[in-house]
Amino acid sequence: MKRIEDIEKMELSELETLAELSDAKLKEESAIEIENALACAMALEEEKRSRRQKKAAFCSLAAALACACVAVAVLLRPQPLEDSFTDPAQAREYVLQAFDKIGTSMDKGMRQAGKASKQLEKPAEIIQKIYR
Amino acid sequence: MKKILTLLTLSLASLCCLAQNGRDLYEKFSSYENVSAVYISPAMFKMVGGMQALEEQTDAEGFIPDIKEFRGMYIINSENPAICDELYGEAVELLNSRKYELLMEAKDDGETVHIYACYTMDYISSFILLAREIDEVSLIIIDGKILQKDLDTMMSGNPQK
Repeated sequence: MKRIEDIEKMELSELETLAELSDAKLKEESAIEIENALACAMALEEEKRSRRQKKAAFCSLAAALACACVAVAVLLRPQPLEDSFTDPAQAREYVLQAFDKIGTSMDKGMRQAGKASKQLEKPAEIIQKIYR
Repeated sequence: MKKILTLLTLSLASLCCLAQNGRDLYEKFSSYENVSAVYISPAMFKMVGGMQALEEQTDAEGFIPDIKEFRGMYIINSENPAICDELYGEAVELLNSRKYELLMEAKDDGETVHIYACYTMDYISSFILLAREIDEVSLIIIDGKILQKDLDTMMSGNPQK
């Protein structure tokens, strides 16, 4: 009769061989318990396999989506614009005109602001006279 | 499944958030008739001679910003009333869509001029002038790197020239 410690150390194949050779029969309750335990183990294994498959499917889909996004980004990448001029002299003229317009506009605005600030001086003078 | 849908939604949402910029405006209006559209690339700007060469040649009243890392200049102009309205509307949309700050607004002789700047850290990454007259709209966009202190000096009326 084997001890429980020895049985726990045995491989499944050895246990199967021992069961076949042995004449002893299991009690019905024990047999049911063992069947239930085996069924639970198989169900657990099945669930693990199912989770692994789902994970693999999700990773594949994520990789495919990432590749699609990269492809779209590459296709939608803006093409370089063509210069309006090939002659630097013409380009220079337009650039100078643009800066001239900006400078004139800024100067106009600053002059108007200067005029307005002069207008503010008069009320300030009056107030100062009152409080003297 | 929920994670996939969430990732997909976020990806599509990020695509929709691509804001309009000067290049988009130029690409759209340059194909119109009755529109004068000019693009100066960084390469052409180098051929022009850069800021130093321009400073020696310009009659501009002091406005020659020291642009570092010039990325492009777009000049769009039209005298067609319908196109003027559309160009002005799209320019306003562009200004509202990004972090542009109004530097100056001036009205004189029927012309309204707005000058905007887009700030990034401590420099200006985009400079826009939008001028509207009764029968004409002009839009000048300069993309590059202008230091804040250089612009402050110019705005205070101390031209570099």
